[in-house]
Amino acid sequence: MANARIHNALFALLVGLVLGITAWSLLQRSGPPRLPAIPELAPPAAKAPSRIERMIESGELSREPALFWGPEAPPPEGGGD
Amino acid sequence: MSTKTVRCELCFRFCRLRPGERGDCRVRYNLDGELVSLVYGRPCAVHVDPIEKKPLYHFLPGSRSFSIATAGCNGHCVFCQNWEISQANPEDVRSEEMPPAEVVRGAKRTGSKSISYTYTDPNIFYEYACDTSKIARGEGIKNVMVTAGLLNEKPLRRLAKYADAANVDLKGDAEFYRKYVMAELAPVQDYIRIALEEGMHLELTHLIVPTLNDSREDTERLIGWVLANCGPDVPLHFSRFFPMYKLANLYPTPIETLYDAARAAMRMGMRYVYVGNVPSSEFQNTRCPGCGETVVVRRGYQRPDVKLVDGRCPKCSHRIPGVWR
Repeated sequence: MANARIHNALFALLVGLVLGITAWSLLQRSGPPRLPAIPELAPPAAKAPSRIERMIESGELSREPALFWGPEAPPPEGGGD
Repeated sequence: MSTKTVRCELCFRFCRLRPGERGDCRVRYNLDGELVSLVYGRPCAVHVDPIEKKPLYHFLPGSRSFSIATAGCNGHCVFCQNWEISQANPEDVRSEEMPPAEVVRGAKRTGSKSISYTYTDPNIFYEYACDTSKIARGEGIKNVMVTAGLLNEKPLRRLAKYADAANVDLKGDAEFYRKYVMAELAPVQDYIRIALEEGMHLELTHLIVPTLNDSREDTERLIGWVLANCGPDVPLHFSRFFPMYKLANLYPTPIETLYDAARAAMRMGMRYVYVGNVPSSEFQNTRCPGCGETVVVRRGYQRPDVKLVDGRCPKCSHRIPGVWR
């Protein structure tokens, strides 16, 4: 008789545990979808020089200022029609 | 649009370049908002050639010309004879350091009377050609531009202060330029007119490519333009095409086609007509238009026999245009 009560109590405890975990799990899934964590960014590094720029740096290509050129004017603000 | 975008104003293309971009010529580069030449003082070809090879037949005949080129070109001829350097990026072509003063020293050391800016096109190594020409002029060495003539007026007038002579390729009509040079005819015609205005000694070369610009109408139209805009005294060279680059499957120009073109030019009134890239051409000597006397005898690239006396025919004293000494 006593064994049966202990058995029932253990069974109830087990069922309660399973129901509790399930409920907790369902609660965790509710609400807005969560985004994956953003990894911490490294501080911005200087742009890697291109092959041409490396060759200019080493003197294999020249960097003589050219003649006959000008800055390209930016487009007018407000745009046209 | 980035404020570091620049516009190159050297040739008709007016390339707009953002930082890190280069022009159609491959050698003018936007380095963080500043346009730079990648090839200044870095020739990839240095040779000593007879001046007749340029070809210039009325300019210091029999002399040597110290000849330099860098990689790149602002024309893209499908028949280019020097495509391995003209259609290459400068970083992919072996070059050597040779600042302007050293080029002039090289010319003097080799007994060259001139420096030729050639093989590719001096227009794209403009700053290098200008600075070298200026030093050369001071040392009594002449400057020769061998060019396709794709240069805007302002830079050309600046260069003309130091350029003594030019051989300009006149390759065909407007359609030919669009299809086979990826360029335009009008800037070349302007170059020719300005070169004459500026007093440069000018000779023209027309490469005849079989099936592309070898019809009688093509040739006569070109000769007509030369006569109307340059006059009959500008030496005109018809040059033979050999299979090359993207036209490697085409046959060489038949010699008779070249001779026909030369005869047509003479018939139309041109006085100094030559046929090049042909051994023992019957159109390689200079004849006096006054009396028919042969006044310069040429044998390929050997030293020619110049019979002129002070630039005049020894028989009838007709003045033959050119720079003879």
